[in-house]
Amino acid sequence: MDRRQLGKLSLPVLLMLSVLALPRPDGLSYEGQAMFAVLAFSIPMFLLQPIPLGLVGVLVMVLPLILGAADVGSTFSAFGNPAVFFLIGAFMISAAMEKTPLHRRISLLFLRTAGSSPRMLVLFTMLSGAFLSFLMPEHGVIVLLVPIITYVAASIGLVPLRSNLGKGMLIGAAYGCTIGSLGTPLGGARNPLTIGFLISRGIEVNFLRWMELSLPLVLLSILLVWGMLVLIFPPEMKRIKTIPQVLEDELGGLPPVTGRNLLVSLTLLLIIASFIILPSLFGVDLTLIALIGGVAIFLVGGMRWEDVESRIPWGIILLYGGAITLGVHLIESGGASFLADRIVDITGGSPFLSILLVVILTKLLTEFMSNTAAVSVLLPIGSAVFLAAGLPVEMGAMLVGLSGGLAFMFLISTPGNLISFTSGYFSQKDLLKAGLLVNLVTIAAVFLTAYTYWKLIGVW
Amino acid sequence: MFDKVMISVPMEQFPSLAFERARDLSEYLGSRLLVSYVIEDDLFERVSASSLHVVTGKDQELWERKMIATHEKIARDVVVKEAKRLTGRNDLELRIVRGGYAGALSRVIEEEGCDMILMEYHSFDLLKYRIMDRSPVPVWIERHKGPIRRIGLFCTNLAPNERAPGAARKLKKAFGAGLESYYILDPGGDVDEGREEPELISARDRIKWTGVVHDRVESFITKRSKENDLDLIILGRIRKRGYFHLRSKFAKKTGASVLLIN
Repeated sequence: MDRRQLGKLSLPVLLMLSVLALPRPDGLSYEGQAMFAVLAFSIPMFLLQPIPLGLVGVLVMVLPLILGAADVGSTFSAFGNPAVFFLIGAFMISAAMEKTPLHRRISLLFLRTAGSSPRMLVLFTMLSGAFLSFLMPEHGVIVLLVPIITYVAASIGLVPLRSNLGKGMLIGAAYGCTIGSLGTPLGGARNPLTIGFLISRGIEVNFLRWMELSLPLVLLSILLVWGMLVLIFPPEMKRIKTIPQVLEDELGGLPPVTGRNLLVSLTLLLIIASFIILPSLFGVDLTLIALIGGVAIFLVGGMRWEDVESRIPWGIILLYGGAITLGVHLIESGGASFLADRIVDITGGSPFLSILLVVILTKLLTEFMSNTAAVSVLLPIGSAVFLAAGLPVEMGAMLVGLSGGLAFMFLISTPGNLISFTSGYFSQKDLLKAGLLVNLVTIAAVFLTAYTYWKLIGVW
Repeated sequence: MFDKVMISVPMEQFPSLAFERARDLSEYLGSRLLVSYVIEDDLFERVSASSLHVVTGKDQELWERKMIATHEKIARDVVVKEAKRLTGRNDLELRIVRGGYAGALSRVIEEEGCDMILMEYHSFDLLKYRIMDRSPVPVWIERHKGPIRRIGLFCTNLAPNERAPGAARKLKKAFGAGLESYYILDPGGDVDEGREEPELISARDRIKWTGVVHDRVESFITKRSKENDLDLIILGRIRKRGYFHLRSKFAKKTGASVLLIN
């Protein structure tokens, strides 16, 4: 560790020790105070990242044990939450998807649908990112999508940083993936985390239920954000004459569909269909489908074991372990309900204020730290606030889980923004300008969805 | 100076103004133009550091390879085409380089024998100006849009002044611009020694000083540029504590372009 890292590490440690040294308020157990100290340590750790996030996850697991706030059994059994294994299965499926040229074909077909309208091209860029993020984690999608979109932008002669269409397409690609990742449990690593948290509270959210709650928000957000993007960056041309040919050439240049590719693609389709149908009709567990799906892909030759080893970001699995134990311990120690009671004293238990508070708080946090980290910090608190306000825990957790994915303003907000930024088509200023307005629009979209649509379908 | 001008194109900025100025240099001084497109490693390193927990090393490696190929396409198909349009020259040369911005450009200067770097003012990333300290050749930071009508030459007791007066005279003639020349005795340098230099420069380079003043370089140059509406500031590469950011700030504060000559 160098000096800079040590400097960054000192703030979280100091904060943790300060919280431990504070006099304990009435109604808060020692375990609760110790968990607040862990929380005070983990928030700046997630923000400053003096060490890799996976290691922060390990520390978050270990610290409650050191401080005597939890026992070994409950700590490590929380790590065995089905959501962790769901995530492993999802990454295996995603690895196979990345290996086939299927993603490239899908995104090019989406772009072709836009015809020669620049505005439609921005929309379909977003839609291709969103659609692929329904099927695999968003960061995997953006890594695949950005080279394709940049290549198309260059092929139609868009000048980096000067072309509004280029800005719209590349920022749109990042935003499309971000918004699309809310659509299914496969889309963002924080989604299984939310499901895992709900499972630990005895509430089951299957694939279809997740989609029922999130899809209208996804569609509404895509349309609103697209509108904002073409408003902020009005395309400099009315028609793109060359694009049909560029896309035809690209599609024509794809390797022919082999028998194995077809088999892998069919298996992937079958897995997705199983995710949607089996849990609702037969009560089959999501994790079981994800793991069997991973093995099935392996058996049909969609990937080799080396792919599993090299394409699964194991760091996030450790981060997960830490996130889930943090949530469980905050609740079991009474810390979450203590904090929630104080918050409800302010909001008066109003659904309107509770929703607004949770959404804004989550959005603020997720702009500055990893989405998963933000969600892990706020899941126990947000759901406790809803419980204390007499609202369903499912609603609080889903609000945190969904809002936690919506990071738009900065390069540090989500790796997707930074990955798209390397295309050279937009500046940090462009991202800030778009992100600021898009944040306002999506806060309104989440609020409206929760306050009206969720009420309509009987969530609360 | 000005025989072969390198226009630097970073990944985060398209230097339209620099290309327009390159057109002037090529037209008035016959400069050959080389476009240097820099694929910056530190950007990829930032991605690697920030996304390792969600994207594996293997995926990042594949992605980086694809992005580099795409940037090479952008440089060849888009940047050069636009550069040709803006400079009006079809004989532009292109170099695509990888690495740190300043290091990569220094390499190109050496290999291609360029005698000036033309870059656009960049308000966001001050690290880009590291090239000013590493470059063995003059650096022109383009900020002013439109023709150059008024040039300000600022010699000081803090900088080598061998080449700046000659460059100022050459540009005055080429652009048909007005020239005002100042010698600044800055209290941060050796004032006594400096007192003799104005006459020496005046005799050597046939420069008639508009003024020899005792002042701090930063405040004097900023004030004079604003008051006299200068389009181009020419000065030697000054060594003064805290001066690194100020050189780029001249462009920011005054709206003028800056030519730094060592």
